[in-house]
Amino acid sequence: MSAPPVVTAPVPTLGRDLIALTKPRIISLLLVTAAAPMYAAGQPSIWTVLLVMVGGYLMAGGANAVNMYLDRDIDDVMARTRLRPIPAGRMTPQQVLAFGVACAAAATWLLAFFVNVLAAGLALAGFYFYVFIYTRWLKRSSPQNIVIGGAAGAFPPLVGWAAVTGSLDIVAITLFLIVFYWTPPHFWALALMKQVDYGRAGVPMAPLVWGERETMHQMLWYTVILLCLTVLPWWVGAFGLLYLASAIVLGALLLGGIIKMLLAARAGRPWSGPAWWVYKYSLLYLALLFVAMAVDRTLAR
Amino acid sequence: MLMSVAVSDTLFWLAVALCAIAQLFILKAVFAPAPPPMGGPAEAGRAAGRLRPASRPLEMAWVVLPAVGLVFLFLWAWQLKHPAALASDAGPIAVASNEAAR
Repeated sequence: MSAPPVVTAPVPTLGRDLIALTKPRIISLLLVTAAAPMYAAGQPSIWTVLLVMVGGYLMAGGANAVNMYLDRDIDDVMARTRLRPIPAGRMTPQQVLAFGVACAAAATWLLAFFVNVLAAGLALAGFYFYVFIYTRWLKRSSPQNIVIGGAAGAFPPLVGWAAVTGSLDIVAITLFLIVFYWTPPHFWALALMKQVDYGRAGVPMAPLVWGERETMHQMLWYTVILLCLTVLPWWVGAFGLLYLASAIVLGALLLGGIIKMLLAARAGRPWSGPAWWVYKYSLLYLALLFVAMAVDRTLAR
Repeated sequence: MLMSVAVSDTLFWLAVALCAIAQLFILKAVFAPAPPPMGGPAEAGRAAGRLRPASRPLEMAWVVLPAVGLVFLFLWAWQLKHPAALASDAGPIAVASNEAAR
């Protein structure tokens, strides 16, 4: 009889740590919101799409690494972040900062030389916004941290659009605002479940400042605006019925999840299940909404 | 699918109204906030001196800024669909500049 297979956690190596610094799971969604608008804006070559993906990954990864450098003191007190390379002692803060800056510099060069200067400038603006406005200024000082800081995550659609058209128009700005208004409900769902961690680290997330019930109400209001914004590109004639139907169905499900969570909280029932569902579904929601844009335009051509 | 201008415009104004209501509730949370929650992680954070009160004027500015962005976006969208409204507002100037261009 053979012995049962032993399952072990992967041993951290420098390569794995460097990848972990870029937060690849978060970036995958950012790349979808950059790539889909490229196909909605025109018919980009696979080469352009590849360059934007690599440049986008490096820029967002660099921002995430610099974020880990700036947040190294609170990463040590939060269970969720304690195993990151700096608090775990596997990398020095200077190494992480150098890696982050190098990634951002490489991304700027790649996008500026091989795509266009506007796309490079917008990606770099997203980097600075994330590092200085969100991480350095707002994250530890305001419950609006996620709202305004969320703008950093809304730059990828602008980068994708600019990479194909060389300019920005009302559709690109609407896509920016869609991601902007999507961010608070998404992150506040997580914040509701990680309140102890955020409280211990002194990060004034909305549930800690406004309370759970008010945060849930705010999630509802932001989602209402989000759903209205998702209809706007169809209204101005940028997208067709396939996109409209997708936006309505996907949005209704998100709204339903938030209402379910709110009703559970009002009735004094456990709401962490619905909150977790909202957090996970909101990721899928944004990805599918953007894919619907690209498919709608591709089929219409 | 062809949709009449009236129905299309009604949908637009419905979206504007919904956004305005939602934005009012968002503004209310900052301009007329409820008392902060007592006990729990928030209280622990404040006791440890880590959770500091935010600057009120800045909080107000942060919440007004996106609302202003929304207003501009809806105005822009309306002018795109109804360029005649814009042209009639600036009629003589537009005509004069066209003449000059010739």
